[in-house]
Amino acid sequence: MKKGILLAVVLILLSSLFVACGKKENNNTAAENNAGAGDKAPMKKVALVLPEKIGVNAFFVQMDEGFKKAGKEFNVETKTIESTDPAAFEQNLRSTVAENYDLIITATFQAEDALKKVAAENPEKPFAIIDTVVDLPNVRSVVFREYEASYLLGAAAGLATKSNKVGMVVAIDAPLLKKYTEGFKEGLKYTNPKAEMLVNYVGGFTDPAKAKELALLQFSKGADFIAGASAVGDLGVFEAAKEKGFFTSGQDIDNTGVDPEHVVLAQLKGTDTVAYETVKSFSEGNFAYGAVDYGLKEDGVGLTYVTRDSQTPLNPFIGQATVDKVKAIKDDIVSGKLVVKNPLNP
Amino acid sequence: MNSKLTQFAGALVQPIVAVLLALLIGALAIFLVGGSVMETYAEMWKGAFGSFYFVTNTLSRATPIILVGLGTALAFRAGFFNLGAEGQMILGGLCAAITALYVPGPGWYKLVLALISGIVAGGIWSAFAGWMDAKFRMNLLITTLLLNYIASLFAGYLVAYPLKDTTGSAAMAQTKMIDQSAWLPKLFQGMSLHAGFLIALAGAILLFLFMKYTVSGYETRMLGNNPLFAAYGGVQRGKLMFYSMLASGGFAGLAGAVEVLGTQYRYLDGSLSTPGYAWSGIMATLLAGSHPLGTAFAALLLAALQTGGMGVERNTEVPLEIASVIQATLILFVSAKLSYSFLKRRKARAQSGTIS
Repeated sequence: MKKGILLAVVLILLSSLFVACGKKENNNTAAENNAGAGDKAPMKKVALVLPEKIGVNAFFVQMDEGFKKAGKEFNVETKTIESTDPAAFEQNLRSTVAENYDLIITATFQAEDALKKVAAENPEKPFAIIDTVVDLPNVRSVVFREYEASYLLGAAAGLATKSNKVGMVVAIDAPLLKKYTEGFKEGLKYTNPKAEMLVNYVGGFTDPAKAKELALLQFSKGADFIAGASAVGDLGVFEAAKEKGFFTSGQDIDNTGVDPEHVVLAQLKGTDTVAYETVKSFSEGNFAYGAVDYGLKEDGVGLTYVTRDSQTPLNPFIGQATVDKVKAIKDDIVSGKLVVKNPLNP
Repeated sequence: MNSKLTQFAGALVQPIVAVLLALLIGALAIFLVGGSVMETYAEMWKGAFGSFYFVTNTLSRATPIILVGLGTALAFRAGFFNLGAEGQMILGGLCAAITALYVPGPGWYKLVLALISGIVAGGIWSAFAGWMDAKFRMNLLITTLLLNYIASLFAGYLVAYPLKDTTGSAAMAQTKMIDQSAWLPKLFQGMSLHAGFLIALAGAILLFLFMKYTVSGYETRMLGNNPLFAAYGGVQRGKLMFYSMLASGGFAGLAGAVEVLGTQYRYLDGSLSTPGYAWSGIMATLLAGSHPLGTAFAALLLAALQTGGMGVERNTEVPLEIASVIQATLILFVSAKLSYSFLKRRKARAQSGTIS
């Protein structure tokens, strides 16, 4: 009996060995075929390591799309890696170094700590970080001039408001978000010096309930246009706008389609463009370190109807006249006639 | 000796069967989302143990889980359901960070003091729950669980306002970074494994020796196995509860402290709770039946599942959630074990005719 089992085991092992060998041969020929057809250097591998899960966060969704698109167009192997928590993120980042990716891209201020450690330990490895600056010789930092787009948004709000009161619901009270509040304030002052701006802070990036309450508060103080700048919290601002009938705007992507009657504008942030451009410059061999920024001129940021068309028809609250005026301001900024100053280095 | 060996093997059979069944169900899940089962499991293995680098990755993930597991194992052995490991861990981590940041002195001094303050903070928080049980008959299960929220929200407040790091982009709720001289050293250049793992290993061995060879260890076990007999034998429940909860929380606090001093180098809001270290630690304890060395081993297994899951995420199209599915099925099978032993006990009681 035992012998029988032994025999069976040996037979199974032998047959699997044969199968494995057969497979290997197939693989070899396939590889040769590939080499014959391609006849190029091995494909470069690029990883996009994110500190969070992508989920419904438009910021990451867009970035991932741009990244994959670039991979296809420039024949680079791309891999997007999501992380569940800060420790896992650092391990993922280290693992991409161990797995020998040619370029490692990451994003947001949440990645700063881990990237500083890992990039300093691997000075030969190229890294890139989107949306914040890490000052190391082997890191390319890509940031946005959001204040240019929020300047346009503020300008549009100043022209459109009837009550001369506009509001902004902002995620947290941190220097980083001055790029939104200060730009908006300057733009508003430019087109409508009499207008008053209300600012409230949610205290987090993922709290629609509180963002909604703050929007309702600003509405009760008389604001007729309330811009959302609170990431996922914007959904709460949209909901408040629908209930009370005021006007609002979204961030990052064109979300006017959510509720065209109330969400009348969207401040755009082209995370897809920068992910795409980063991979592109890397594959073309003109990848440079240091900080680069994307503004209106590079189409890194923008405003619906002004820099990009929208599927949603223009709401009469904004009106074509306003759009035309804001377009003129945009042209001035692009040509350098009008300079919006960076609130982070005054 | 022989019977001991079979007993040991018998204790191992259940967890192994649980793991195998969980892997089987995981295979079904992978199959349903359209991935290749063998490839996924191969990547999982590689992500956890594929090379020296990934082994150290797994060990560093296991470090806080082992320490939390040891603490819970001690409390469970004494018959106290300490579910407050998360809060104890958070306070331990927070106090360690504060100590390392604001106490003057040389680096090693700060480091030692930070570790001790982590143990003390976790211990006091846990003993507080024990005290409330002894004094006001407040159910330990509920108090430890609820104290978690108080600890994590309080720590969240501290790092979002008074202790917030205002340098850099200042967009995160976290303390300043601890000076490099007070970091727990990394064991290997460029890898995440730090000296906290050695502390965890030493803790496991010490706890094992304590439980097996000391009088207090015997009393602790006795109290858990049969409180009435223990009381009859002169064991003071209140006192022993206080000390076992103190030590249990101390381990959890130490887990938080080594994670802060060895990995993050600062207290970052959510960095100790979102990875679920505390719950993984409790799971490890349950898997191993509160045996200290077994708990350490089970913690390693759970950490391997997590790092393996990260490997799957990196190298296949199967989502990260699948590793969580396997973990969840593991919990299910562990709970099945509990009810199984409960049934067995009832049967045994029925046979001896002493159903109470």
